[in-house]
Amino acid sequence: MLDAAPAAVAARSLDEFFAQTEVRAFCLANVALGDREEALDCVQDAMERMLGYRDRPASEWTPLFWSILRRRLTDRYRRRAVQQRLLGWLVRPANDQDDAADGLDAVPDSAPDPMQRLDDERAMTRLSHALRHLPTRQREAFLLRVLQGLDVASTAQAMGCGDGSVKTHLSRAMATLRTQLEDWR
Amino acid sequence: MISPRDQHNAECTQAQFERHCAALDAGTRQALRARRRALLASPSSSAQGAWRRLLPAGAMATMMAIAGALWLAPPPVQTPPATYPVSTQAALAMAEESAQTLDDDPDFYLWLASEPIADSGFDAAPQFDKERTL
Repeated sequence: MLDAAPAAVAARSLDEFFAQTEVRAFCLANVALGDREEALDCVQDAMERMLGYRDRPASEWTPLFWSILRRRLTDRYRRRAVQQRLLGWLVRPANDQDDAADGLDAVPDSAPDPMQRLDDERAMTRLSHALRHLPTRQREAFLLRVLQGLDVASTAQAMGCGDGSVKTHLSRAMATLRTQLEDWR
Repeated sequence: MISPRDQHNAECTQAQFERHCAALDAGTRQALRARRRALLASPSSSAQGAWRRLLPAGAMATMMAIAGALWLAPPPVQTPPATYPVSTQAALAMAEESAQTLDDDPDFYLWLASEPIADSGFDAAPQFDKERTL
């Protein structure tokens, strides 16, 4: 069984909630989009949107925030698709695979185990590239269920579908990734 | 259903992701913190942001609505003149005039009706006196 995300202390304010969530949200957006600046914008957009729900009970914040972030990511994908279709010859696709192929730029200098970090960065870069070629719903199910570690019910709530759909999308995503990622074979 | 192999892969990926999150560089963490604080510093930023986001869409929708209204609007109808057309007016005036004449001088018409129709002389060709004419 997949592990749940590390349990965080229940946030008492939205500021606290964002402080607990922002790093994971950014990393997830970065893996999904493969672009640091776009991931930062996406997380900021999601937080801004989330401010409108500050009156909701704190117990609802987690699925709500991931649902908002999921929609923001989907918007970015759509915008990219339109850009590539209409302005493909003018606008360079954001962050080609070659740019971050080795992930060296993102590795902090003071890492205690540089080789392990480097391997992780490379694995994340390959995963990011493979995820961008998945159908939207499969990608969302994988990001929320596997990377973020939400349970099936919360994933279904964030995706706005049933538990069975989450399992189906995840299973298909796994099958596709198995054919694309050498580490997964 | 996820196979044991996929389960293992997913767990490995999840562990990698956790390490990836933990190793996030200080610059990115700082950027995230700065954006969060800037966002929370302005309490009405959400409403302003939503308003700013909706502004282009609203302007576009308004322009399209105006264009649609102009496109679908019926052509301007020419209102009929308040007075009757000239021909109708003339006919009415003539009718009034003839009725007035009849009212004014009925004796003339009675006399006219009692008189026998005189030979107008148009049946025969007119005779000209050549000498007088020349």
